[in-house]
Amino acid sequence: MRHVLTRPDTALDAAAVSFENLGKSFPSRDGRYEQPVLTDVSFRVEPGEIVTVLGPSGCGKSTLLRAVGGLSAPTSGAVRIDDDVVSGIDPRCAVGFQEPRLLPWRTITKNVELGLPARTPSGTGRRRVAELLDLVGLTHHAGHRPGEVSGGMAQRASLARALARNPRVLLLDEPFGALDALTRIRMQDLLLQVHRADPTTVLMVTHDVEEALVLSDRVVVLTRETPTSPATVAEVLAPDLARPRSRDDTRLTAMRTHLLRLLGVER
Amino acid sequence: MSTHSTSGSTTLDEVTGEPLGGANASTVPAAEHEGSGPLPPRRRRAGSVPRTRLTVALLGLVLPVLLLLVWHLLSTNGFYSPVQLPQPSAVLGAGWELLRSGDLWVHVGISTQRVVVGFMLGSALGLAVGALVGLSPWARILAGPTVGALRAVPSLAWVPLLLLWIGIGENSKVTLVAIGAFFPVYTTVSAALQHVDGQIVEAARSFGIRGVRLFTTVQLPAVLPAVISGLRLALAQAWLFLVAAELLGSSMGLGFLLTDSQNNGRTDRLLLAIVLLAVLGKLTDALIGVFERWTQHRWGSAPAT
Repeated sequence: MRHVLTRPDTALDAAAVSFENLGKSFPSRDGRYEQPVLTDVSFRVEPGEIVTVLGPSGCGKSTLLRAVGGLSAPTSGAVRIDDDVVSGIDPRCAVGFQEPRLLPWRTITKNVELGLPARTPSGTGRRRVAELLDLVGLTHHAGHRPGEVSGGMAQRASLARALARNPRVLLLDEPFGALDALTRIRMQDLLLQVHRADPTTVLMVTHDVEEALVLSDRVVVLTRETPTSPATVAEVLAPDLARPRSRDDTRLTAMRTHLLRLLGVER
Repeated sequence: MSTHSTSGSTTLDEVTGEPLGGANASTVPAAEHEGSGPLPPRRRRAGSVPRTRLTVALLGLVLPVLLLLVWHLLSTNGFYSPVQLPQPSAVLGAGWELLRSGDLWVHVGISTQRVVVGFMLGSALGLAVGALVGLSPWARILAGPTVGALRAVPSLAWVPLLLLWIGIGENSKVTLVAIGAFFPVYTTVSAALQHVDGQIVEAARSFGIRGVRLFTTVQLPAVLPAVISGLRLALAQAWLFLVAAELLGSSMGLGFLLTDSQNNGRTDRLLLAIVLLAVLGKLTDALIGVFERWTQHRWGSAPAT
């Protein structure tokens, strides 16, 4: 089956994201001291790039992403989208969360509509939602409620909702982490299709080395010395290979071993 | 899946269609509902419980009929004197008498009006204040204890003050009913709002939804079941406070009918007023049931919060 995706007329140009000495700490449980989670994180995501942030769980990857979306403010340093420092929820970003986070009482269509930018004319909005549902293969489940579809379908609806915002920066927080292996591979392929049709900037957090290598232009590796010390950028790896990439590519195998070693897994 | 081609478009092949179709099959748990009706069938109860509406309605009448029989028996066999317990037929006669004189409609009408107006005002205010206290930590810290203390004041304690401030007319009665309706809605709504899933609220906020729109699209639908049960309680309280208001100072209404009948030794009318209160309470409660089904149809059943 061939599928044609039109770049929406409303699509905006992809934006650059730069992290400038970003640091974040959270109050400790007893509130007596600040526990640093991220320290001195600096890197730049070019417009239209797919960049994944890789790191052990609990190292502050999601915190990094939330700082871009304006969902939480950094303790030190700053995030810029193009030239503007992020402060508060940024209309140029859309977030795909680890959980679908759909409103359980709304149909899939109505949930995707939530992502539409404010003041979208209803006709345009309806067409865009229908197009996105078609793209993620949910046209036949448009009238279902989230509780009536599978986890993979809910996650696709969540992706469609994020795309409905026409984001200049798409932030994905381990969006496929909770899916079974087969569904995950399909979702990764879907993301690449979407990106090819509308090359927006994608910043994605993952703990899956394989996923990072198959998808990204560059992989930013976060590491920390001990589980209680703050994480920072250890290395930025650029798998300079055309997409789609074969998961068995021998060049990826070498990179995988290298990344796993960085993350503390010896083979 | 439709295929539409436009100039300047990017061509994608195979991936969306087939593998995604297969993805449905790979995620087994929900697959049973897919493609079937709009909602999964409700879980059936044990086989012995009747299901048709008519049977259920008829079975609901069994107990009232039995009560009526016992009432008739006790009032005719000399166990109670007619002054203590008039026969059911006497109560019916009293009702007929009041209906012919037109007084029945006056009493029922004015009481219903007081309840409806007071309930509307009180529950709307309860929803507003409950939303404020449930959503804003500042409002909770500042106003929570005060509202809690006001709630602890017994209903009748307000009566002298209301008479002094508002007078003996309609307004004081409607105000008392509104006070009665306010607290159940306030309590359930403010408590439920504090437990709305923070993740979906954050997701909505990340899409730029905030303020009143956040309340109407996410928070209110999420607490809808709590709002409905709050309204149910509020309505029951409204009738309770109505009778309190009418017992103390009025010339019309079912509460007045109660005191008036007591003073004149008309136990038949007294029982009539009680039966009418039961019937009206049940009818207005049924209206809330209709409203509940409408909201479920409109929004779907929100999960319990």
